[in-house]
Amino acid sequence: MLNNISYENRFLKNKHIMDTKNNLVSKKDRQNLFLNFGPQHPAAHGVLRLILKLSGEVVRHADPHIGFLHRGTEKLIEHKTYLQALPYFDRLDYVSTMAQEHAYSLAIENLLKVSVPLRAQFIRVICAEITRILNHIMAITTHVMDLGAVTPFLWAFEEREKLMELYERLSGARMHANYIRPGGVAQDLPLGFLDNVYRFLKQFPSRIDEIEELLTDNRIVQSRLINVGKISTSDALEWGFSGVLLRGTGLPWDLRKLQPYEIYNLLDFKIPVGSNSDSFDRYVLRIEEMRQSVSILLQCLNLIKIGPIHTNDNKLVAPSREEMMESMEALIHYFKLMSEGFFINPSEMYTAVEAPKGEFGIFLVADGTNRPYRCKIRAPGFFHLQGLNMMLKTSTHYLADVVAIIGTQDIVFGEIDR
Amino acid sequence: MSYNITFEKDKLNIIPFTNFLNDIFGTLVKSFVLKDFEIELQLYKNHLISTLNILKYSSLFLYRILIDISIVDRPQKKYRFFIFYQLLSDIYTNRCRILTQTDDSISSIFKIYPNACWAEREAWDMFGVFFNSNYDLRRLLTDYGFEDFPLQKTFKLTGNYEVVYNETVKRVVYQNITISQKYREFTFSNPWGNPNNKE
Repeated sequence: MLNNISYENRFLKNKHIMDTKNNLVSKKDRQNLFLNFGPQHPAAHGVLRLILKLSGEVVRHADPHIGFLHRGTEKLIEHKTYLQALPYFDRLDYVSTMAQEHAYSLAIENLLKVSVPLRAQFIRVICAEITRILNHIMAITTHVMDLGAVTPFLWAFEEREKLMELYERLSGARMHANYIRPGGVAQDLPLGFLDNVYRFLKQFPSRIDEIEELLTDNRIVQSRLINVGKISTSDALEWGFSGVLLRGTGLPWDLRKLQPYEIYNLLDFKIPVGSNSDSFDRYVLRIEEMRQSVSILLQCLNLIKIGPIHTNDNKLVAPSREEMMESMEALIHYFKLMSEGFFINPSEMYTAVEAPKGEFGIFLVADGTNRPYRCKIRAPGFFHLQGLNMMLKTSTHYLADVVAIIGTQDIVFGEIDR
Repeated sequence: MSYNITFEKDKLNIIPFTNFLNDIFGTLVKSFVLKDFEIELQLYKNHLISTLNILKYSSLFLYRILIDISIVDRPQKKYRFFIFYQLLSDIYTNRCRILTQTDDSISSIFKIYPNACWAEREAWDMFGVFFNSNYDLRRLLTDYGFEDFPLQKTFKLTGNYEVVYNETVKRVVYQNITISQKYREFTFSNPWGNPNNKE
């Protein structure tokens, strides 16, 4: 009998709990729930599959499954010549295409020790900053769309369309530009292009203001973002974060300033950093980075000069059409470059640029032939997504916060799955 | 033990720097290669953990960020997998690369750099390099149940299997790949080899 009572007590203590209405509920009924999130989910920003371990609505563990968009880019690059491999970089992170072409072109130039003329460097910086604005518009608006605000998405995509028209004028393609080439850029700026950029820049800051009016003081946005996904600087460093996620923790880490490439050291711009290192800070940082990009673009418009747009080295860059019509040598160079491509002596080099999402790096290994022996692509989003579980565990996060954190990480599956 | 010091641009005062590295690492490191501000430490794989511990925690280096792990497959070599660890010091704004070689397995570094977990998973997935004591070495990018290691140089570009919808069993099934046109390798390289080689 006594045994029975003690057993009963123990049973009450351990196996049952009171729920909110003071009913005795078996603990068995509130076990952890495993929830499959994705791969086809509008808030997953593509094809992310998450296995979430929930206790109630609190997320205890998140296990991202990636690879649903794996196309074997690195394998394909090994089977193409250096120039043929360039368009694959547009298809990686398909909302910031030119930044990746830029990284690959820089990698080849670093291996060949080629310098690029000043005008080409300015054009590249203009392209990179247009790309940054494109990416941040996408990042901010889809992020708040996941939180329920559809209006900024609809209106800011008009701005995105204007920028993609600029892309189209440069290269003929709206997104997959294939414009920044090893040794320079594909062709000179079309007539009136810089005027069009200026016309865009004149009206764009007020569009940013409109987005901010709608979102920054918005109570819903604030309560969904403030103190969500807080990370410390040491955590961010340990998990290999870069870009806005690292700057959000207060560390002014920006490769454009610290390891300047192209002409970024001639330009005057600021690196915004966060103070609270939460999702709201990162939203504000993206807004501020767009304003800085506008400032950089304006400086570039003022500083850009007439000049050559690629190196004179005909062993790397095909000669111009006019030259080809007159010179036999130029025709041969053109034919050899377009069929066989150029050769790079055995060497390896890691090159990184500050892509809109973070540090985008290329580790290029050459073996003396006309094809890369190995091209490892370091995607910032890959490491950000890996840290998703860590970000969720920093404090109590609910299921709805998973969506907010995926949004704040600015996940794009093209670069993560490669 | 000889130290293979090669550098191309005399931007830094490099010789004292290599002597300094020698003093610290001694026999841990096989050789140092310095090129254009890039440092490459080549080491035996059993010295990996101790060297990384020094590089991460010593106030002289503070390579606190693991940027990436990349593998290069050279099947003709005895230790065919060249494993490169890209490190970054946010304090000194400096990059460093570590190179080790292995033929099958290497110890995991996730205890030093937590973000090595996915990088190692990817490396295992793509090359079949086993990382000892990695707590979560599942495949990462390939399909569930995938068996080959696609980035090995011996793996064909076209792959081995494809998925199709089978009308009789009413589901997606795997089958051997059938390609109507044979894969064409466009090798336009000339019979005289690399024109850059002035031999």
